[in-house]
Amino acid sequence: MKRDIDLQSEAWANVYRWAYRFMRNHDGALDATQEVMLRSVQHGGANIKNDLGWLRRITVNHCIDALRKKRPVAVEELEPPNRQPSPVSEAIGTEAAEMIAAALERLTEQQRAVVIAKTYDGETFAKIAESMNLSIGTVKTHYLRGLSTLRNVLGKLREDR
Amino acid sequence: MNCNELAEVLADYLGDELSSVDRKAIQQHLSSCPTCAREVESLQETVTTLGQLDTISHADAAGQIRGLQIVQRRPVIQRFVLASLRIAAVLALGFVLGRASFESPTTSDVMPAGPSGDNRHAVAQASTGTIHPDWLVIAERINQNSSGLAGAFRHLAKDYKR
Repeated sequence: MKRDIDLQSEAWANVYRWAYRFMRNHDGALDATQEVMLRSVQHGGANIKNDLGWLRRITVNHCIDALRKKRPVAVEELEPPNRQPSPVSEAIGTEAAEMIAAALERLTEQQRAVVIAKTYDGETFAKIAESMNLSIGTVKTHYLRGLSTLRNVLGKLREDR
Repeated sequence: MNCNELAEVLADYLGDELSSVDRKAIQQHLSSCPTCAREVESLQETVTTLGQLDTISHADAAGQIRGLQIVQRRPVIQRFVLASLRIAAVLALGFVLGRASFESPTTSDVMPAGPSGDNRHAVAQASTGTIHPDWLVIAERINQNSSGLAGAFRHLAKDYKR
């Protein structure tokens, strides 16, 4: 069953951008965007596109799950003989995305939401507090604790590699 | 500024929500407090690491999702069951129609019937016993009735009501 959706909405372009941050390729970002679109239709219909906070949380959580389930690819498969090797920046981006996704998974839902909104969308603590219905003080606490946990987890992940 | 005062504004400092005056005061404290300096530096590195994940522009993203449609897939088990039911239904229908067409009477096998509801009984008498009388009635009605199959079913329905 196919459903058309208002692709003119800015919300879906944002969903794709959030997804691309983590998936680091078009196909992964597209799959994630379709999944989020489907869930949004099931969840709240046409109006859900106005709830960017909800869309962002769903998108990031979906990408984290997808990266966790991703099967490791052998190095040989990444560089087929008839193509130029992938640029170094892409390889670093993919590895960094998986590591960051693994670290974000260790945060609470609220810590993750605050860190994502602050780091990637540059939202003020006041705006985050309003959208999440929390006090500004609580949002700042989530931010600091989230960063602290990420620092510890990323440090351990780097040691393990 | 002391360590406790720094802790109160640390989130604003890392989140870049402090005025330049306040930032200068913090930097002065950090230059003289190694403990706070280590803590703040490590958290800033974390923010920088997170920032490695850049993304494409809004315009590029809008172009990438053009033509997207949602395809709502049923679970695998559900799809398998539905497909099996469809196949079974087609096979059953084919079997029934096959038997009906194999056994359906030709025109000469059907007794000419009058306009009354006795047609059903009259035709049943001519039945070989292996054919359901309703099929014979339908065939007869089609032969007689200019409104074709629909009319045949309507008459059949009336016969049952009597």
